[in-house]
Amino acid sequence: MKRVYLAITLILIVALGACAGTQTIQNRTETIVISYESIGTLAFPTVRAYIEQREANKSLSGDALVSAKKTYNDAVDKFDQAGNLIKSYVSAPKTTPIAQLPVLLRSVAVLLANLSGGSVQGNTLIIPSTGGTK
Amino acid sequence: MTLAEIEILVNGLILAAQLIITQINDNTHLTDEQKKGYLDRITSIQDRVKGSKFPV
Repeated sequence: MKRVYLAITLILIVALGACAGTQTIQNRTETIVISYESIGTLAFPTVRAYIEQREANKSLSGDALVSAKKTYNDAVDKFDQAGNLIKSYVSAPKTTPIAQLPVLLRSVAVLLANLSGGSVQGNTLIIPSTGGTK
Repeated sequence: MTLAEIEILVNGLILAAQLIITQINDNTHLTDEQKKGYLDRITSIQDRVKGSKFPV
């Protein structure tokens, strides 16, 4: 199956960017923000469209459909938490525990992978280009 | 040069290095304009993604 590699080197980049003490605060912040933007503009719309497509063709319905939508909303909430963490980091980089960020984003990636029939391999979220077979 | 003088020189070098590191850190802080730019970008993405929640 043809797969698209979406947001996910992003998580690796964020992890490296957050942990590498050799980077300047500007470089680190830019890396983190670009990564966050990529996940928000690539991964989320793709997974939402996939759920809507499955709802439309009736391959996902009833309790399973409700569960999928709730899981998507949970992913949104975690992503929002990650955003607030980044905001704290931007406001006070030396006192914000940014190491939590890769953990949060990884949990978001796992939820999105489960919803789309994709997977998280290492630090990469892989979402099937035409959706999974779940 | 006596041993004491060498120790003082080494300590002076360490202090100089520490000062340089401090200056580098001071030079890498985000400006208020940069902070605002990053905060706006994050808020924009947060709003967009939050707006995609399913009504359940």
